Amino acid sequence: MMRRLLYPALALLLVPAAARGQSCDVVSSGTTSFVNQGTPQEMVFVTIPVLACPGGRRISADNAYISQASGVVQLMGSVQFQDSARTLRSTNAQYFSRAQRLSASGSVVLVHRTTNSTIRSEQLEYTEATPQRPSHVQAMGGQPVAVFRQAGQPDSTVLRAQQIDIFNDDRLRGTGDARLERDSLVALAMIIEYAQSDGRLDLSGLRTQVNLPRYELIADSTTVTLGDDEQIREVLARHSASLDAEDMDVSAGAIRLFFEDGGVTRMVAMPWTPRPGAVAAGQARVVNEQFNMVADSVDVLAPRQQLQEAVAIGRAHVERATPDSLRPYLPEAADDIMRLIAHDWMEGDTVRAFFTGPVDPVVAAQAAADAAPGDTAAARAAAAAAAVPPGDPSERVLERLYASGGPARAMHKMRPENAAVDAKLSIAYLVGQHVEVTFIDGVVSLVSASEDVRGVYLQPADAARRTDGQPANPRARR
Amino acid sequence: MGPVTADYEPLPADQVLEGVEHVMTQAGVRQSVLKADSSLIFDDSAAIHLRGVNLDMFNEQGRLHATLTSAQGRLDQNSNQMVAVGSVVLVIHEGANAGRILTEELHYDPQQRVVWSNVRTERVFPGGQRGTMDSFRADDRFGNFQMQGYRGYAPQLRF
Repeated sequence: MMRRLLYPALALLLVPAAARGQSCDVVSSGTTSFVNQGTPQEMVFVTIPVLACPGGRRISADNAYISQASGVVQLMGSVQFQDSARTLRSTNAQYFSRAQRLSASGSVVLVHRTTNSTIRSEQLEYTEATPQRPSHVQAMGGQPVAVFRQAGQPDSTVLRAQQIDIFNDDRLRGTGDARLERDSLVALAMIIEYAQSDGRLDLSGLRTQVNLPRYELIADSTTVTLGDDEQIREVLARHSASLDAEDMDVSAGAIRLFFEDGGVTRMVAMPWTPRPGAVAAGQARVVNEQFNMVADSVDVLAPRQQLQEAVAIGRAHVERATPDSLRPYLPEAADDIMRLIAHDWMEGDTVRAFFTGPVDPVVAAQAAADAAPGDTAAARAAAAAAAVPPGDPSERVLERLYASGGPARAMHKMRPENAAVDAKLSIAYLVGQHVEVTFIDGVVSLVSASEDVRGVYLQPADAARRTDGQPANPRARR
Repeated sequence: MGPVTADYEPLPADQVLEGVEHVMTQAGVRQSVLKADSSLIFDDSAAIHLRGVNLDMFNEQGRLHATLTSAQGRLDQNSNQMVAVGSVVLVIHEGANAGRILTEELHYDPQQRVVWSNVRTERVFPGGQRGTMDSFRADDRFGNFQMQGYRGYAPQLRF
């Protein structure tokens, strides 16, 4: 779960508008020298000044030099600049009163005293807001680090980058090897930007990375959107996106993740227009230990973080990972042939995969008992499922594949009726408007297809002899 | 020495002048005019002790720039250096340092055109704001003004 990146206003109130033009009081000082007073060359030097200025601001340094002509204030050595809520410490600082800009250098630390939020860098520029521009804090040099905290809350948001910018106390940007950490989220990018008003975190630059528990998302551009409940609502990774999740790997032009209660409930892999000159990403590809899905787009639904359905749309091709391999039996087969028959697969304009929880042995036993007379395959599958110990309820298994349009094509391997476990496999290849294959515990249980289905069913020679004169595959339905 | 009776305090001086006015010039230009209610002159000293001091200081244009008053003072006849002592009030009539300077001891060297004090001094600005310093040194036009340990109002320090 990630909480919203709310951060306190870190911009110093250098000169509050109401205090502009008012002078400071000297709390203490060493030597104060006014030179050329009343002339354009008027200057003031003060050693170890401690100044109390309007708006509750307090300024101290080892030395201060003020040029009335240029409006430049130079603070040298042990500079401390604080307003009602924030403190800036640095080795040196310059304040350009006409430009309303402060430039601090040397071990700069800007602290929000109430929340203990900080920015550390070697240099820090602060430009005050004017009607023409927003306020702007820019930290650079010495690996700037910004740590944002909320008052009374232990958690923090940490941003590291070669340069950190805060605009108008509302928009945050880290540039150059930027790394943002917040709760369980780690974001890496060339540029990280966060707009507090719309709760949007943008990552850009080559190979941005978002790490969340169980997910690693890589793309050239990523947007994280946060809801009012301070949690991630959506992540959109664009341009050659890839997702490395605990239970699946995904690659596509873009990947969109939808979150509820801190977990992913939907994932959409889809095409995305490449940047000019960039190579277009291939089709969306989703790889799971149970299936391999390729299509123009893939939509995976997982309400309550339970994998429920995966929909592959547009030139969809789905392979089901099976333990059986024909390689030992076909050593002479070419690689492309082996790729064709190595796993069960389906193709079509759309392929849908449906998932369910592990088979309940009690239910499966009842199914075996209720199997239609003569439907030995169904009975055998149900009985096999019943023999399996109860699995992890959070584990999801492939229940059904449905291909349509295109036309739909399917190839799957199965053992003939009443065959031994180590019996040779039969191969079914079907073409039709739609084809549907149902599984029980990883075994093909039922194949159904549209009326226009056609295809071939290849049996090992010995099995063919045994089934001579009988339907080739009694489990197939039209 | 004047008459000494039981009712009069003896004046430990060789000469006593009343209503003295001393004009200090440099290259023929009037720099300041020192007035005192009375002056005590000693035969064996170049120092004249002043009582009821009033010193007017003029700028290059001959305009009255500052006025000093004090209870007492001491004027060196050789150098024209002067020390004002006791309830010293220096009123600066114009310029960035316009206002009053209050102290118990103030030195003035018309040849060097320097004014200074080595004791606690208070500044009162035209608006009534105040500042305090441990000591200060300035030219007699108060364009260059150096203070030690200043605290208080500082109109030139704008942030």
